[in-house]
Amino acid sequence: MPMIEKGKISSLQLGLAMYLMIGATSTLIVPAISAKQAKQDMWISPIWGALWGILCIFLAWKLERLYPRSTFVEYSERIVGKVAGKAISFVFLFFLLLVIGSIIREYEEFIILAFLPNTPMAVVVAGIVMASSFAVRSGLEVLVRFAVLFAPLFGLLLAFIFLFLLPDLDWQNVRPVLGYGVMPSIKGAIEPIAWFIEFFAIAFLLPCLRNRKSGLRAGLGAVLAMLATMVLAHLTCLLLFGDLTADLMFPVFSASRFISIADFFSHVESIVATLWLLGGFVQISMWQYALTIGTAQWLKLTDYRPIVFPLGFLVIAFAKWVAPNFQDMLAFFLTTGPVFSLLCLVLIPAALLFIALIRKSFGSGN
Amino acid sequence: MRRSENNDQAASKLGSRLDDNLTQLRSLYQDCFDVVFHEFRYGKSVRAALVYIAGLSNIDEINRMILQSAGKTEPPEKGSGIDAYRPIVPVSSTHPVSTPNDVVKEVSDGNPVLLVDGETGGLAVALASWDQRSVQEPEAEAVVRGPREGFIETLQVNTAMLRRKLKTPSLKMRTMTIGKFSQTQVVIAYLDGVADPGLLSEMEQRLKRIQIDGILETGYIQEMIEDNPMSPFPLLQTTERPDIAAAHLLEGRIVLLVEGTPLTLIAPVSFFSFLQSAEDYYQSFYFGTAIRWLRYLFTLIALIGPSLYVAIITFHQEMIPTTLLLSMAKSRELIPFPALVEALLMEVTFEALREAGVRLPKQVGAAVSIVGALVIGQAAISAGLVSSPMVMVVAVTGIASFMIPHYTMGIAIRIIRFPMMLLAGFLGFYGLILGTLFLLTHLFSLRSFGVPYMAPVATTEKTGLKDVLVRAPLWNMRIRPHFTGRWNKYRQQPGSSYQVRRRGGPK
Amino acid sequence: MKLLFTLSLALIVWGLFRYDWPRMNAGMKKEKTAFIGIIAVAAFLSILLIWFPRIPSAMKMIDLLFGPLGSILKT
Repeated sequence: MPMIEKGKISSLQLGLAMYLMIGATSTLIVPAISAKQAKQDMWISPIWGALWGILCIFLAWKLERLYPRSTFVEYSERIVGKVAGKAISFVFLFFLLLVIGSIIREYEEFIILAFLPNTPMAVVVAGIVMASSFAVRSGLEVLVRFAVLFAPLFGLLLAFIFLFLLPDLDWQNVRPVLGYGVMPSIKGAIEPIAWFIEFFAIAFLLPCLRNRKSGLRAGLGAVLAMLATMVLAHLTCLLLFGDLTADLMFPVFSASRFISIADFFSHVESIVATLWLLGGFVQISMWQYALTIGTAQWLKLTDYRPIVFPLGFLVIAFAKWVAPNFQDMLAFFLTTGPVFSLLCLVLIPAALLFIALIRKSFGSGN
Repeated sequence: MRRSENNDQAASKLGSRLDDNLTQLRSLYQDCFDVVFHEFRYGKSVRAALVYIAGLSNIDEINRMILQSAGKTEPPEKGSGIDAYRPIVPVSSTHPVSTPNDVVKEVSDGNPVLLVDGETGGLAVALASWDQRSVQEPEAEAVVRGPREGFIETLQVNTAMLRRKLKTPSLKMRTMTIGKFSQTQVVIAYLDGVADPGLLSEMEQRLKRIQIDGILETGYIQEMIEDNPMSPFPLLQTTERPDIAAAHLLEGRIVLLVEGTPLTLIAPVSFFSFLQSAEDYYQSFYFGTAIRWLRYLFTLIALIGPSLYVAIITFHQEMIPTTLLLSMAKSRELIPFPALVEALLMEVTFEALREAGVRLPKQVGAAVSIVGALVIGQAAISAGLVSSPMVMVVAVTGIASFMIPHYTMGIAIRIIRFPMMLLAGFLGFYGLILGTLFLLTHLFSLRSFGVPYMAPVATTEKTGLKDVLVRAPLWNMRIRPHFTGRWNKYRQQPGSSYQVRRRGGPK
Repeated sequence: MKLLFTLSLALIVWGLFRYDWPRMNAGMKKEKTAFIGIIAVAAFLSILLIWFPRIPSAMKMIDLLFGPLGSILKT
């Protein structure tokens, strides 16, 4: 299996990278979405999501076990043949473009809200994409160094927000727990699930692990960390805002605005916004890396570095193309989005795994 | 035409006829008045000559050792070879030379060459001596506590100083000559058994590849062997202090000493070693840790201080507490420039003053640059060109950049400050963050001779953090740094740290 | 405004070529084609978006495909 990426990463780096790759934006907006359906049970929704996350990790891991050191693009061709494999990979790559586009869109909205109300969207988007393209071009090892640096800060940040808001939280908002049965939390779980299944993207990083056996541990660790973070974020919003959470665009950010200790610590939200941006940078870079490696393998190139910047350019275009405005994008997230995600991240991999297992057991070789 | 003739001549051997040899050498050294050809006789019949450069050789010794007794000494049989003259020349180190090239090399090093009529070749006598600076405290690396010796320009004195620090035959010193016209001698020093053999061969390879007119300073070599010459960050460390050089040798690094300059090069290095000073280790570890944290804070200020100010004033005024905001607004009311221009103006002026202060005599220079900056700042404020908060920011930034122990890193940070200011001025906080991300990406991808530049941060090696985040007590530093010292892992005996803490010393 | 964007687009494309083309010298034919191809697609899409902002978005396209399934979740 020709390996375009020559770097090797450790399981800790992998875990932290995955944590930020999925978790950075999701904690930003998901509480608002789950609040719509689940209301006071919204903090349970991430748990359902985490189950699906574990499923996807497992799928990716099992597929990598069967085809060592290959990524999704490579083994899909081997499982269902060249043509079908290339078609599936193309769909997957298109999906990746959509994901990156929507992540960037969310970020751009957030940055304009928090930092630069008067700057045109194109400038903001171009800025972050240039930075992440530069990082992707420098190689995987550089990306995971960022993850190791920022991920703990990100997690601690959320813990701190929760702690500092403790006096203002109204624990009554949790009641009635499961008052209307399990259904509301499940309905509210659509969005968390849609995010948690993105853990399948670990399929692009597993081949680069130094110690192959630790991949499962790293992935599960990341899922658990994200679960904890998400539950914390949901709880914070629920206990602070109650039903209002559903109306806010960036609930956790709004929550951080409330923090004030002795009238001094009152502009914490800038720190929050900064750390969010840093986490988002890692997230965008990781997805861009997946896209770049995937495309390079799809086209059977020898080196992925020349296409980093062209793909960055494409990503900028997609960021605009993805949706005409933020409301539409949110609507998409609630309806067709999860379906498409489910297809690409669960159904297709599961089908591939199934076929692969059948082929292996019939001993038809690779 | 003449050059190639000389080259041919220089390569051919010296004959046994004194006159031929002297003619050859004189034509090589034509128009060089300081090269002396002194003819004399051994006994009554044997003609000889001494070739040396006045000022490079020890004239007194030459007179005493060679010339004084020459007339009375019985020369050996004609044809017994130049080696036979060794007992006659009572100097501890002599060796034969056979070509004019060798003669040139020896004479340039200050060793007179003895030529005898009737013997082939010549004898080089080690009597070099010249005026050199005395050993003083290096100005750029002064400490409150610690040795006050610094390297000087003479290579042998420097290697001797290193030998005094590490009195072991494991301290190896390999030598190399680089530079077509300068023929500079370069010494590669390392601790055998501690340093990585791969690193050593890589270093030698890179040095061999250098083809240059002359090496005047380690800076030349540094630029030619760096992993990433385009980066503003220094990838090799320089030091004038033998104790620092020895400390790095103990950690498995390689030290390059160059003839003619007191600055030595150390490789490989990481970013954090530039933010450490020798003193950190000589004082108590509480002090070391506290100073280290102070330095990190101020390095950050030096890097993003002005940018932060510009970003907040221009885009994010809501972040400033209201009372401060009012007084700032008042002081900025009449300023004609936007904050970015004001900042650039002041920073550039300050840098210019600083650079000018370097050329002035020591006592005057320091005073002029600081006082001058403040006075000019005050005048500018009165003229309504800049605001007082701006002058404060620039002054604090200036002081912060003085806190960086190593000049090369200080330069890098001062340079990077300006693009950051531009980004902050145009895109505010977001621009500042983007700038930081670009900078971090660059730093994370740098390597110094294969070692990641940002080690031990953000690598999978956790033990190195003991020396970066804090200054761990010496009895706790049992393992050498991973990337340079893993071939000889333990500095101290196992269990000794526990013993020190409990009972005040190893058993 | 549109003209400004188009000009900056041209600038970006020129910049991309200036930066990466020399690094792809040694006969990496495939990479060069990929490079040009992707830039072409991106440029095309960008030009479309600059001059015709109202074209159906990518998500709308997916909606067409999966519309019925999506509305199940709307409930």
